[in-house]
Amino acid sequence: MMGPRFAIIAFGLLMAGRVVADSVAVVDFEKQILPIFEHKCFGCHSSEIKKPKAGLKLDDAVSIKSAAGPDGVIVPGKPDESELLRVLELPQGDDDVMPPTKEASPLTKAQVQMVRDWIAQGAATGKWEKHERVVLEKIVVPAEEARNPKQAAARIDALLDAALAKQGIQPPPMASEDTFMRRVYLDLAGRNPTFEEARTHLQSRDPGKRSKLIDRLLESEGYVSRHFNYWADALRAKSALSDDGGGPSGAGYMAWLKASLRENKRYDQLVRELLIARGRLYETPQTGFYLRDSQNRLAGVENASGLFLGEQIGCAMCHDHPYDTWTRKDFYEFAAFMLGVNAHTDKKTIFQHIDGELIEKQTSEIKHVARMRELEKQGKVVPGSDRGPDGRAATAEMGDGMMSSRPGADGASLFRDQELREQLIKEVGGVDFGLMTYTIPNYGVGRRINSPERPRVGLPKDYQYGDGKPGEWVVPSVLFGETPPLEGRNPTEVLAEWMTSPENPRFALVAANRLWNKTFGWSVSGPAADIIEPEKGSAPQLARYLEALFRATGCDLKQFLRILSHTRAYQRSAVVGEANDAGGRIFAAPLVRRLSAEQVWDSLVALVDPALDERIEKGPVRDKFLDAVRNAATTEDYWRLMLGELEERKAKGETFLTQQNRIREVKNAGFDGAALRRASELSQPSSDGHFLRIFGQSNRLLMDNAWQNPTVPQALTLMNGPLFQMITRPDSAFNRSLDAINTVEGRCSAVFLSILGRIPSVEEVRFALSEIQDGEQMRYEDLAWALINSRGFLFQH
Amino acid sequence: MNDSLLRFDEISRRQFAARIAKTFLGVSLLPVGGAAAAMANAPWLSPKAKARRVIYLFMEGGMSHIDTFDPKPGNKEAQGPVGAISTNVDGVRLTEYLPRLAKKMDRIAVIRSMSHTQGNHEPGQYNVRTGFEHQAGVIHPSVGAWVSKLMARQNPNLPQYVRMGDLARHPGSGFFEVRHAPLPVAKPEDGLSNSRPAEGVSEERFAKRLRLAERLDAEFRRRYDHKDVRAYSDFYSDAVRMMASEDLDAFDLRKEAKATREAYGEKDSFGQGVLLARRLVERGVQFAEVDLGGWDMHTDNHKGVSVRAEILDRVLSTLLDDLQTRGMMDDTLVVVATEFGRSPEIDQYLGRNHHPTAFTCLLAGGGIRGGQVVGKTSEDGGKVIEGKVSVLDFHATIAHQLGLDTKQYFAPSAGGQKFSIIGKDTGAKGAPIGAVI
Repeated sequence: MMGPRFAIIAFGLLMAGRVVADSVAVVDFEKQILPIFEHKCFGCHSSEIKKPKAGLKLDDAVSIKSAAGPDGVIVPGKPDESELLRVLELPQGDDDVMPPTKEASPLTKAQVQMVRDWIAQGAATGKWEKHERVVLEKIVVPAEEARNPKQAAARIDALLDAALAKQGIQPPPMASEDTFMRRVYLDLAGRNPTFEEARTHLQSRDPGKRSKLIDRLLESEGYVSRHFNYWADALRAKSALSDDGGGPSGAGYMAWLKASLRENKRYDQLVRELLIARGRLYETPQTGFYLRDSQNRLAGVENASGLFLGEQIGCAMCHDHPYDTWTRKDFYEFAAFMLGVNAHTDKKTIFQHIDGELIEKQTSEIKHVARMRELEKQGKVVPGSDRGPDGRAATAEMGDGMMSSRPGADGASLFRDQELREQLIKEVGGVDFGLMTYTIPNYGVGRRINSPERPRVGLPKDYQYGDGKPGEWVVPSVLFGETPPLEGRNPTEVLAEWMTSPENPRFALVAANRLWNKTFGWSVSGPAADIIEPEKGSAPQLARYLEALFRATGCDLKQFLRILSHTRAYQRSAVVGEANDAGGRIFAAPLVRRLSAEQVWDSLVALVDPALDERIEKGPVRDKFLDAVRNAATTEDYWRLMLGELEERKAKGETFLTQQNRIREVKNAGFDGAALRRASELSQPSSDGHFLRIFGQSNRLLMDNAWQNPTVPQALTLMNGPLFQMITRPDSAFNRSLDAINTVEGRCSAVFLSILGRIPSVEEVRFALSEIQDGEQMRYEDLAWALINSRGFLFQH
Repeated sequence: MNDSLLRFDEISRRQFAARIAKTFLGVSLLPVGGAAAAMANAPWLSPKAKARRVIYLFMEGGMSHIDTFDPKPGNKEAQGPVGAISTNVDGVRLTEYLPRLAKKMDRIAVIRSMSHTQGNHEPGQYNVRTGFEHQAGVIHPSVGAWVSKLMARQNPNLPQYVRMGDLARHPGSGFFEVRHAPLPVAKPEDGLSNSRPAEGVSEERFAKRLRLAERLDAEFRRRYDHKDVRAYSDFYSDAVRMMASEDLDAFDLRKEAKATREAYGEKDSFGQGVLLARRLVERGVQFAEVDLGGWDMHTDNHKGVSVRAEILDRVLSTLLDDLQTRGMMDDTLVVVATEFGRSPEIDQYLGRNHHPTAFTCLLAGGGIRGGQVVGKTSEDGGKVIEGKVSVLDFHATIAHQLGLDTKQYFAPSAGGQKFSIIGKDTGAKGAPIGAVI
């Protein structure tokens, strides 16, 4: 599917050697030229491509012959007149160079010379007829192997080690026990081990303790929290489902995701549930998957393709894809499955007894009057009118993008109870805009997904190609393989069936590649959302095995991670290197890499709150308040419910209303229990300026949007930020751990263990103690500060 | 930012700085004498330069050009429900969403003939921010990083490149050293948070802690000598340097008059961001970048654009007046860019699609000749029919005003392709837009 993307370094070296040795030897097309064409050209110039570029195919003898000839791109015997050679010899960066700079690294000088020689010798192809795609024998993993982590892990190790040996990569030594322990806590439970957890593990003499630790962590609440972060980043899940920060609440959707992870729902089942979701957001929270993109439906399609199939089809949204198989029509035929779903706001029926439209009008009235009064106070509006002193309409002064509307055609109030109205105006005027969105009844409650509301989808208005007319209905059609029968079925069900089918060549491969990348920091089969055929990568058998293994576990996320954690590769010392997934670079162990923002935060908050993992949200949320709202008997009842809720939240010190999310920033003073929760329990994403965002938490606008670049604000935050104050309070988990220890050496070691997850050397302890001694006291907080502000904390190794 | 700002007076700051210097190997200490001295002699300024700083406003999501700076009043179908208004420049119209800027058209150069080929957000933003398309194995530096690299530093107490926002999918310093990456300010209203040691931590104690950290971490850094690990060490020393900086209050918006803050929009993050940008460049930051998001109108385009445009209209006019009042207009280049325009076709969701083949960017100040329109698009705004400007041309114009050396080439890897701010060593180079320079 994808064009060739990388140089076969070993191959190139081999070729260079041969050229030096026998510069006038007859070029063997099959052995020497065909591999070059295969890896550098077939991506655009083969029968795999619907529209081979420039109409040129190089993967069968007949096509090469027709490309040859006095007017062709290959002029046999005359390399300098051959267009093929000319474009190969262009400088990098030239617009016409082959392969295009964007697509693959250039041919080596030796390879170009080879092609030159081949053309000079007549461009013969000998007995070769056509290229047979290397298809590895289909790997079948027996169920017993998938159930036996050690056995499956051993297979993985054998395959990886073979691939490494081919490249002459030496594996590093095995990691120490504390290194392994910290690594597996971070990877599976999303944080450093606490001091007590670390001590327990390290002191245990149980030879099977690693295996047991892995099992325990997979069953822990930490697993839910950590993997929620991972999948939320992939799904772009947010507390407010629209890109503009508004929209229906995603709280239910995210709670559903956590529950699915906790119960270890099969991954294919989870994806099916997302794709076929329909009903009210309030009752069927996974409809959040569609509502996330209610303002940009095509983005939803693009993301689904990247996440579940590893295919980037975004370019084909507007035009036929230059380097790939997707035409614009292909895109729309595929999009037709999801575009038929309608994200619908249902104002009338969300209330059982009252008129939703009336509520909305009353809401406008309150907003309008409250704002007008404020402007009157500021002298911007003449009292009694809604014009400014200059006669201009006051609506221009509304600011904040609020589009005001007037109450009733003749300005008459829509409220029967004027006292109630006054109360509302007073409460609302000056309250954050957040309250107003809450009172607009359709948010979160009225949203509904109906499929198919729009059973037919058409080509866009600006469709520019000959194979269809603008507006013409398209038949939903899958990207590759056979579209299952559509007759009488909901298109999203058809899509879900095809997507997760055992016959789908991508679904399991992409999932396995993702989980491997998450565990090791590098991929076996190309970037997560832009998969490369395993045969074109550096470890094809390993990739195919992982794919088959994922299937054999029953798409079991926990089991797959369990197996990976059991490999020898995973238990080696980490290596330093630059991941190059597009280039197929493989390593012998996990990479040294910076912790994610959530891992940094969670590890620090764990030093404050010993019961951190008990506070992870348990189940899908149904809000009592919303239930009451739906069943309100009269509009007055509804408004009194609103006032009551507003009072309750005010008493808790909240200045804004968001459904289910009672989030506050870390404050300087006081142990604010609500805000010091794991990242998965805070607003998604957290607000601009929050610790998490400073450290690169994804803003959830694009898939996999987290970043790990170092910045000055990060260093300032760790050095001077308020979170450290929390850690050094007497009642923090950190200090409580120290209090339970009697010797200074023991306490000193405990600080190392709590923060770096490792046992310090004797010299380190001696040195540290000498530095932190202050008269009679030992300033352990200075040591804690020093360790938190070290690379050993910020990086995973 | 907290009031501990006031605790750190002149003397203690210098003591702090001196103590840290002893601790932190490799920190080149700040020259005593401060920003004013640094800026007075300007060895960093090329004699050809007209501007010495850039305020770069990025309209994120794809600003619809037809509904803002390139109206098509003669084509109802393409224009939709928005009218055009005249400006204080004869013959030039903007849409009615930009009444304030219409009165300042004489100070702005509107480039209506921008064009590239990347129709998706990420490649489009990358293209506009760097001048280049995505390329296997290379991340190009953003234009701010180029300015940081090519211009000598004006104020050693402040970063050269600041960005309001985060670094998600931002090319940052690309293949340049990480010190050319922007310092991200998450919330302009909060300035540079945590820039003072915490309550109760004396400079002495802070220095001691830092020394301890360095010593205990040495083994890890030796064992895992990776560029990302090293980069963190660099940033730590930068952060400490910032803490000792005399110009830290440049980040403090509370030092601005209330009236000024209100003019930019007191509750408006973008407005406050632009105000902070002005403040920072005034003190010697060379490139201050602010994003205004939310332009990606795939539904209800006109409703959305009217809101976004009102913000841009208000904030940019305020900025131009502010710069004028402060005598900064001539040496401050103001840039407004976006990743692409939007289609003349309005679809069934009342939205407009991505449209890279024609879009609009703006230049003002910094010696730019305002009051004109560069280039022309077709009568529906879909194609450039005159005076096409590539992103590299746009960057060449910026480079020209700043007097940057466009012949300096840099290669991400030894022996590989080389890049300058205006193009690759092989291939077409950008040329400054003659009409505006």
